[in-house]
Amino acid sequence: MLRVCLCVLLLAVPASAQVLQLSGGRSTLLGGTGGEITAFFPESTLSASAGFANGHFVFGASNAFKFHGLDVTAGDKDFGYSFDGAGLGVSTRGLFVQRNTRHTSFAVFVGSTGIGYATPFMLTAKVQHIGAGFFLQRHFDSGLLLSSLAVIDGGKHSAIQGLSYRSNSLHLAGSGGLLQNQKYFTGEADYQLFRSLTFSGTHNDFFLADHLTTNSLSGFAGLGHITLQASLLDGQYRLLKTTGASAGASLRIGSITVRSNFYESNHRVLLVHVVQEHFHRWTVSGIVNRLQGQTSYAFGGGYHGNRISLSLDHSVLFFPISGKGFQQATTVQVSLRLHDTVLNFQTNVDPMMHVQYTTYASSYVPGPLAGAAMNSPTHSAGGKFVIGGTVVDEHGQPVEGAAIQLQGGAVVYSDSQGRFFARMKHDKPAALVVLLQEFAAPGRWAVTSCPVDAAPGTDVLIKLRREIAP
Amino acid sequence: MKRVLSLLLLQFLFFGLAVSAQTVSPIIVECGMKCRGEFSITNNGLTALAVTVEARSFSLDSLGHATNRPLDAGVDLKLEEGSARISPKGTHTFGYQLKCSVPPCSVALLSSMVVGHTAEGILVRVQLAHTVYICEKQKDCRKKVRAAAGVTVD
Repeated sequence: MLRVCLCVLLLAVPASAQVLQLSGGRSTLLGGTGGEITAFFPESTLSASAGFANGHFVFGASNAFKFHGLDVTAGDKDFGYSFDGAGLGVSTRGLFVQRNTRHTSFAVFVGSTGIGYATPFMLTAKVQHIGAGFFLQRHFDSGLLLSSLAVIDGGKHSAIQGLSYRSNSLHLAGSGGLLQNQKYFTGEADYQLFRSLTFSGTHNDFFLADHLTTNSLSGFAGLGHITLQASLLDGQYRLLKTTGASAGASLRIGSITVRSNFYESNHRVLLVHVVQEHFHRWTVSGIVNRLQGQTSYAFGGGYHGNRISLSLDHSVLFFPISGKGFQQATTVQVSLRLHDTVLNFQTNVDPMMHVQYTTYASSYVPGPLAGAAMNSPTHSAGGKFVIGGTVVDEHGQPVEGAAIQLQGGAVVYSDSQGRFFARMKHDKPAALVVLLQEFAAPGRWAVTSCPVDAAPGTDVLIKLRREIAP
Repeated sequence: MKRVLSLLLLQFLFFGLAVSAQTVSPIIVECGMKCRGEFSITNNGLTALAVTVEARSFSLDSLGHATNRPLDAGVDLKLEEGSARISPKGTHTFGYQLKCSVPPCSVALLSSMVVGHTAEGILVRVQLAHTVYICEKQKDCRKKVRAAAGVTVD
């Protein structure tokens, strides 16, 4: 009964929203399935999420608004900050206030904390403890950055102080304190000897279920079309120590990049040679791997367009937790845009080397307050045959923002000179329609004259009459 | 249930300001004599936007201020699209090919969009420029064009 009332109430409020965002999906990486509805009002944003995480029903809601220059969120929100290689994220339910100015950022929350499920399609929390938190960061013109984070999460206390310095050639950062009742320290240094030569070293402690430590030392040189890099890594998880070393070089000639990399970890050597070519919106790569005397081949690539984006990538990652050092990982990403809806699918490799996936859809729907919406698809079909023209008003003046649809093509809009064009795939006449309800131009218009169709290579003239001034 | 009711009450009690902006990327590119490029417009707003793209040649004065004019005769531009509807929070990429027969050429691809209106009802139109500098050699083209115009300030 509570869930039904919850849904009715949460759906009643968005009925008066300006714009609604609807999202839903599933993620094995983040362990959840569910959805979220976000209602955008002129002066606030209201969100509600519900779903299942690790087999349990979870829900969340929040309202974000401005109040006397402060960003206020009432409800569920992640209190997460990182600086100088360290950070902490806590799922909270309560009152959250933050303010960002040019030099200072601060945030504070009070309420309850627990296990959160923050995904691109839902944000929920399972409350466990009373909690409170405070974050303050101050930038100085000298390059110094001071950070302070304090969180009480039930019986777990965190108090981290960070200090970093950045100049043109040097970056030093360190932080330490108490992270969830455990002492810790992390530091990193980057030194740019010349414009094209950089050295960096890092030390990190990660507090998962067990202590994980990683160290790295690396160098990078960029010499025109040639780049060189080398790094040493080591990690320790429980009593398992993993070391690794890598070195590589790449050469870029025009749109073609050739890379060769050497990886060594746990006495295993992996050689990876990659040839990658970019042309326009396409990327194609061929990969040759040599491991333990065996050679294997792989191909990857991708396409990034306005409607669809997809990629298949091969990468070599360092896995200190599983103790396997450098391993190859293949990831797939697909993104499809259908009008105002975006569909996403992505695979990831988790620290235990398991392949996980996240898939979700997100869409925007105009609410009653949004006014007229443009609803026609406008992704160009492309092509070498051009149909163009001019839109003018009753005085012969150009009309900007007039919407014209050509048969089998997208909606196009006229520019400040009243000019428009569309590219067609076929050299044949196409029907022409003026979409008065789709105009970006203000006011109400009527069509005085417009040809029924237009052939590629011709220049059409469309005459309009303004009926009501804006 | 009380928690939800409290949230709804807060919704009607407090007010804030929704702010969004449109962006263009990249802002400046340098090219050789033949240039094939693209730029992206991101709609950070919550409603769809109609965007039109127009090309202008421009020249600089000694203070670096640009004066636009119709595209020069020596510039041959082929735009893939002259307009587009960009979904809420969406990004649209416009591709183009540009040839310059008499270098250097300075071209601004201006993306225009109506993003809202004032309280008095005046429409607010935003124009974002993607600027292309074309020289015989790509390297330091912008620097050379600015030096030739006598621009002394950064």
